[in-house]
Amino acid sequence: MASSTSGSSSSSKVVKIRSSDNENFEVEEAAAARSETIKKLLEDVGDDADVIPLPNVDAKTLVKVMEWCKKHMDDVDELNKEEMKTWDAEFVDMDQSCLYNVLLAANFLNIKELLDQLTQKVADMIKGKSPEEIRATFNIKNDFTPEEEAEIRKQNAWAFE
Amino acid sequence: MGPDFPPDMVFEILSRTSMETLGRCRVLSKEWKKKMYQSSFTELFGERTNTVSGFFVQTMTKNKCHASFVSLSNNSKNNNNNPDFSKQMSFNFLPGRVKILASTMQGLLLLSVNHNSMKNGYRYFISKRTTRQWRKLPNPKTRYFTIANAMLVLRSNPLHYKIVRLSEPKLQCIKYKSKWYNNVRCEIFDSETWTWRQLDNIRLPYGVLLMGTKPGVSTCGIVNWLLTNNQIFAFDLEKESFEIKTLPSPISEYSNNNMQIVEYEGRLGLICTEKDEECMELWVVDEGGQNTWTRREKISIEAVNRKEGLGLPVAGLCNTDVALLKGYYKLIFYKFQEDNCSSKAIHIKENVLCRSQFFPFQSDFQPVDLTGALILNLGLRHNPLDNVFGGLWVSSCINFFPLFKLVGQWDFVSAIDFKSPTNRSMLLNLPLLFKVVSIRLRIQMKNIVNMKLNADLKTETQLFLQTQKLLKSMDLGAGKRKKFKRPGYPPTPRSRSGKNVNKKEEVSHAYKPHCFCYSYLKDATQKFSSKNLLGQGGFGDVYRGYITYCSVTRFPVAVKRLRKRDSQGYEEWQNEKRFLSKLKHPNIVELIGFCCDGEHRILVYECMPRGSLEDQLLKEDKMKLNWRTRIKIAIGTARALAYLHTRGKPIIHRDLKTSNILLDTDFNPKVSDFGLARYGPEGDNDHVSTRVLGTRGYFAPEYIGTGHLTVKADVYGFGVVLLQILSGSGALKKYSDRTTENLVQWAEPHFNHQDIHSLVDKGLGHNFPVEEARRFAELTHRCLCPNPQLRPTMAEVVAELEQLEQNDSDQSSITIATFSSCPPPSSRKFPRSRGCQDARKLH
Repeated sequence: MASSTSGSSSSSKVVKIRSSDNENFEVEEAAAARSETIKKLLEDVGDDADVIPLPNVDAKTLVKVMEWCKKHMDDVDELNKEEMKTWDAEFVDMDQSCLYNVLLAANFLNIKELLDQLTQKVADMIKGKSPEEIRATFNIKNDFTPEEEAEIRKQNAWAFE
Repeated sequence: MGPDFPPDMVFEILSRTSMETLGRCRVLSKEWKKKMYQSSFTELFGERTNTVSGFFVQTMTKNKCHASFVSLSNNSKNNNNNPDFSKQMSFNFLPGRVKILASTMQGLLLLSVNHNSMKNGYRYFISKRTTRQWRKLPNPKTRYFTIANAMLVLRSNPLHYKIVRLSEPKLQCIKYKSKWYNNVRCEIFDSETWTWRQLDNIRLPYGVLLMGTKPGVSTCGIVNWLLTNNQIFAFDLEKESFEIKTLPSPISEYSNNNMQIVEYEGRLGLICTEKDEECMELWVVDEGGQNTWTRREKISIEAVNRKEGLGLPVAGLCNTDVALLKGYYKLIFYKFQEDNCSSKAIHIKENVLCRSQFFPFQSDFQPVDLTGALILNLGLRHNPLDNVFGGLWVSSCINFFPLFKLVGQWDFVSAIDFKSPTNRSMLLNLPLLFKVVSIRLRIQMKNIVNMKLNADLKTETQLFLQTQKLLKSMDLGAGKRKKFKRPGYPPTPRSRSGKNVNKKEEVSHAYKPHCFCYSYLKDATQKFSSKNLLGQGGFGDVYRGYITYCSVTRFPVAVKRLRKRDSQGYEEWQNEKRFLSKLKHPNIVELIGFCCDGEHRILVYECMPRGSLEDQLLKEDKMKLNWRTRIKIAIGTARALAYLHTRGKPIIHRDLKTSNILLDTDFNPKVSDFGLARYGPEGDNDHVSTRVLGTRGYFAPEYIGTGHLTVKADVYGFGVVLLQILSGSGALKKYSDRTTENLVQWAEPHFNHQDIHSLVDKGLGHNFPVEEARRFAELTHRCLCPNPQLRPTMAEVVAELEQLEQNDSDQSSITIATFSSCPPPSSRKFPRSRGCQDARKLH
């Protein structure tokens, strides 16, 4: 998996990034620049950058994120929009732990569009869920007394079963 | 356990969910509850989930109401400055002038609509504005002056709401236990029963009035209004009881002109301003259900005063941090928690704001079923592509999505590919389906079977099994079938979907017969077993079978299978299917479905337990076929023919005979067999020329002679049927020497000799009213008149038979009991139709 290549077009510039578990990747600059964080780092360090370390993202997640970045490297024209939508829908369709990791990575790497897609996906997932399940999902601590909770449930009774 | 999401990410996620999820999320924690009640969150949420929130401002000028929507949102799409949006929120889609009576934060509005064509003036409507859905409600029983209306959504999925209406009864003041009270009438509408119910009158202290012009504020299932004595009238819609609550001092001393009750974080709150004062106070009821109040905020309105004028009245509160102020010629959204005076103004043409009503409103754009029925529709819908009978369909109000196909009786096959991303996202947008599938079948408005299916949709199979179990348990009894709505959706007003389905098409689709697959019908009739054979006709054999229909398992049907496979058979099959699909009449047999698998041609009808009239007439024991039953059968059949003949494009049955008149348990006749039916002459043509087809003994003479077909040929056929009903014999009289005689020929001399007793069925004995039998015979004779132009029309026949029935029931059983058995005096002749005599001369 290391040094997974992108070298499809030799003309494009390649940047090296390193995951938290010390695996190195080479990606096209245009793809990597989808991430505001990387883009900023690149600007800061300039051309003589060796490897950009990403201490918060493991290799598995990084592969996923870069897969998305590569696909979204170029602006999409009208014709491909539908196709892209399908691709995106398939992309976000991953198992829960993976989804959460990618979401956190997207947040750290600051990839707005991917973040939107993923948060929407998580939002859709919790749509039908009970408050207990949502609390568990987000590690939210319930600080209501049972009486208080019962009252709020009554206030929003229409939304419960 | 999930990973540690930073709070701003949770915020992002929650802002993309749905109104319902948000309602549930309020119990997550104190911090989240607070966040979700803030305008910053609501605005983001509205933008991302396409939810509108704001106020309907209703102004009354010259006795006409005008409502416009004022959005809280700043984004370009749902902004007030966007003309498309204002148009989108107007009520021009409703048939009449609209007045808002009550609003909810779940998108529903209670309206009264006045239309000139409506007899009773105003009608109550329920509407979801954003989806352009509406439905008429029954009007309240009393028409007294309305004091206040309120509506509350008790549950969103399936929808359940209640409406309370308070009005002034005739006796406005009553004395109770030596004290005087103001009397208020109270009525409740419940969407589950779909009726208004009157409760006991409410007694308010004498001289105290309810300030009903301001919409009630609902919290915790209770609607609150301010009373003129600065108390609060709280009506609990769940318990259907009321309470009068006092306000704490000092606010109880304030003038209630500048007082506005509001909802604050799900609790009751109150905003008041003293004129010319620099402050606005926000009081909120404490948690714990006690009537104790705390002052939450003291809001300086100095800045607003300086900018917009002094002492602006408050119209309402948005979320927890924006007050809506009634300015001069404009409305001001005042974000009071931000120190600076960031107000937003919406200009109103006339200065009528002080007299306006403000209805808080929030809504998404998801269609709902306003009757609260059917989330999962067990539609027996026909899929033309693969001949699948029925299946399980998810319906959101307008669209039907196939979920599972029903193959055979209980075998489901997944109808869609769950792996495809578009289908997955479609299904994800129906989240409640996954969690709890509520199946509610609305049998009648008043009679609801409500069932819940707890299906955890982690696996598809689980849903299969659960649904299967549920469907099996839903044996609603065959007797209730009639009360079911036919498959297809109850007429939902105006769809929002882009599909160009016009109303007519939808209606006709609702009566579309189903397409069955052969194997299903084979199972239903036990492989067309001979013990299920009901009868044999010229075109096919009829078998009894049991199918699942309208959620009734083992619904009995008659299955007619085409026997001869020649072109004529196919033609007749096609013809019958075509006509019966179009016809709907209580006296015409109902076509439930058909099958055209391969070379099989089958029609499926409702089952008629008493078989055909012919069977009944040929039975030895005709006790049940008494005189009155015979009249009933004659009338029913005549009505069916009259219906056929008087349609825009008349239909001629061509093969009316006793074996084609089927009887249900109560001897109600239904005309069947439309294999030979065809459209009658149109325009200037007085007849159509055809091959002579039909049954011997029933042919009208002119039709045999010329092949010219008119509706009067059916009248002749009906005459033969009448004669059979009267005489109880077949259309061909069979004699012991194997010769046959046409019944009409046989009857002719008896008609001419007015020999009623020779004509009437011996099986009746003397149990028939002679005078009526005479008139019956006379009518029969006229129908059999050789000159078609002199035969009565079917409408005339119906009228005459109805008159006969009327007499029959008037004279009741006494006539029958006192019957004389002697032959009629010869001096009494039954009137002879001159027309017929003349006609005979012509021939």
